[in-house]
Amino acid sequence: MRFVTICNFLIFSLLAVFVTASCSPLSKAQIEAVNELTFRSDTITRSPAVLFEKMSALRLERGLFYAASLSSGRARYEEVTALAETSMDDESVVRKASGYVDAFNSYVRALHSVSADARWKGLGTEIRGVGTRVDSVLYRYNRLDTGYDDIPTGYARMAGRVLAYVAEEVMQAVQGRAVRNIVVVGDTLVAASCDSLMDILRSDEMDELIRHERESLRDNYAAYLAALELRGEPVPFESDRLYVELLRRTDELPDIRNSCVSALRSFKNAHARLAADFAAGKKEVPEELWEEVLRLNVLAAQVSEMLEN
Amino acid sequence: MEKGAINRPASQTQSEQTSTSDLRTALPQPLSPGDVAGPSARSESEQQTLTDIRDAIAECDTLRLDPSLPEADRRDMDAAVLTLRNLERELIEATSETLLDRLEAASKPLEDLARDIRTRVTAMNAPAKALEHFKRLASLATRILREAGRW
Repeated sequence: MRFVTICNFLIFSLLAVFVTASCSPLSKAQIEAVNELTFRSDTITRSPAVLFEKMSALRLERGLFYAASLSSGRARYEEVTALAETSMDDESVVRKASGYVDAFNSYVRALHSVSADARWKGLGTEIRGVGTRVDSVLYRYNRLDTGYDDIPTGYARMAGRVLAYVAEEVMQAVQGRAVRNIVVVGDTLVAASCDSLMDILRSDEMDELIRHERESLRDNYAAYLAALELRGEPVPFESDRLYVELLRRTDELPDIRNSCVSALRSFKNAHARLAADFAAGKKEVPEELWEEVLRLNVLAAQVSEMLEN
Repeated sequence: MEKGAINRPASQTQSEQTSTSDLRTALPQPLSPGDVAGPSARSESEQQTLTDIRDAIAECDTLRLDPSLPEADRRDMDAAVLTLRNLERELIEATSETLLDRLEAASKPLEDLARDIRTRVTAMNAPAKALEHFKRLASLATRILREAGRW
């Protein structure tokens, strides 16, 4: 009798697994592709805010060189005070920019979270844990001298494992449906947002700001050197070292901008490809999509390294 | 580098006695948001003015750092160049604000989508969280039965 009950339970569980697995709109590979796509993408989307921050820091440093080239104490005081006030205002600009790009990052992080293994593994782990705990409770109950027959143990743990497996399959189907709906419905918005971000990064305004910092750094340092020469003062060695460091940083700005644009384009294309495949009901991830995702992750790693320098 | 000169691409030199007011009027005045037909026309003007200010500052530096300039004139030139630096800062701020406005407009549509996804993730985690409570209860019951067995 007990054997029949166990068999029925196992057959029912296998049927449930079979039905839920066949209902899943996405394959594991597709969900993994979404997870990989969003792994590092938040690095790219925060680039406009970081560019603002880097330009602000460069502006302050070159401004200090320039202030040192002024001949009167009064003029130098006014310039340094203005630099300090502008630096504080720039911090507010950077904070606002970070807040705005956080909306992009929220989407990327949320998509990464919904496609993560933890969404379906967690439930299975808990169910297995419950089965084991119930078995422990029964074991401890049997150890008490209650006078009643012992309750059979081991079945709760077995049931927990089987139910956990079924629950994991069900959750994977739920996850697949959720990821599919999000990617397909959100693709238009994502494409529009990526286009907007790319337009901002490639805009004439951003271009001019970057060019202005690069050229003004040279001009301001030249003025500083000319002023020291006029006063007959030697140039501190550390000034040259700082100038070289600042030159390196300004030269990196266009590279950061261009890498971010490439990465955003890659992200947009990969997202659109996934959405098209999901909408068409395809279950396989084509090789070129994996290559696109890999290219995106490499670009994102490069951007991350440049932004942290 | 030639003494007192700023190392710059060749440009027309102005008269040595350029006053502050001459410098201000020589530059195209920064445009206010209501003055022009559209954002692209305004940004093009801002870019041109940023370049002009950069050139004007460089020319001013060439003049004020000339060794033959009297000290009083040099101080006057310092005041003039401070005005240009303030103009530069205003223009950079205006250009940054333009970019920020575009960034804000671009980010709004994704906020709602991100919120929807987070709600789904919370719902997907709910069964696991509920079972975690049940697991703790079972652990507590095991402990109680173990202690009861010791009596």
